[in-house]
Amino acid sequence: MNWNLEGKWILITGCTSGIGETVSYMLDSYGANTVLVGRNTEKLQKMEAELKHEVISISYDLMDLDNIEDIFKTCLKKGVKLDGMVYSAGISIDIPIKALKISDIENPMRIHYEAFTLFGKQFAKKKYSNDNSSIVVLSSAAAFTCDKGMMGYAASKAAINAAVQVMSKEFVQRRIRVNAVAPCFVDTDMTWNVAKFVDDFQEKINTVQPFGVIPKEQIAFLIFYLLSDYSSYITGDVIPVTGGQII
Amino acid sequence: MKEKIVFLEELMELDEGSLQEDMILDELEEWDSLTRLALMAECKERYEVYLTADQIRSCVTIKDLCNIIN
Repeated sequence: MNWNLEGKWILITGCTSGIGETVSYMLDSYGANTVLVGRNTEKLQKMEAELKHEVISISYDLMDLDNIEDIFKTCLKKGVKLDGMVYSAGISIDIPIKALKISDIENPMRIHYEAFTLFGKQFAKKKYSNDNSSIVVLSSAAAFTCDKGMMGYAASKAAINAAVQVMSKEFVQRRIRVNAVAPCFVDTDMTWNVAKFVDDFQEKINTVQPFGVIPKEQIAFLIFYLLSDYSSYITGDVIPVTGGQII
Repeated sequence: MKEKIVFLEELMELDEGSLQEDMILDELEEWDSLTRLALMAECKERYEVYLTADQIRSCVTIKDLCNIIN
């Protein structure tokens, strides 16, 4: 079994910030070639210059559900067959129900669940991926805690959890594993933007998440593990990383 | 100013006339994190004013809030 990802190609969405960015650099450090999918063209170029292994960078807005296959066609044209996918793109919309507009429900559902499902559909095509490959998606503990203000976010992450289980069953013949990582509060801009609205956020964290805010590297390493041969028998699972929070 | 106060009363589901300019926000039971989030969303929708969390946190009174919405 290989502990590293030498020679493997991993597609990563949401790679220009937060957990996705940390994952990209970590996978590169373990030998992976990467297909970077994001909106921030400047950041994509910077990452392409900094990563040590081969990179294909593709600027794409995940709100566009109609042209996702073009990403995979690009990989195929460049002679790349994927060994893994990390779906890390996400948005955080914290709005109480009384102020909710339909877009506050539709947009997170579109980015988190609909686009992920369509990426999974394309990834699973034999021409685009190898057997024994692995899909990892960023879910969230919010799907379980369902806190106030989290209607769109929590529901869309719960939808991801269902998608993971369905996909894992449909992709089992090719041994394509599908798993989700569901962290509580991680040290990202997304968390700190939410924190500005929560009274006594630090005190709340100390109480509900006693190990503290989770470093991005902890999540990135778990994702790396789920892409590696050492997790060959894990599929259809949503793995929480709670920092001590009981959910 | 009056129009903004009425807007804030609607936001906090208070009867018209409940809020006065000089009221301290932190002393209002309705002034919580959810209301702050709702305020951001409603200001964007109704007034095309984009408030930041820091701007909202810097407000002490109802009058301060009305001023930043302006």
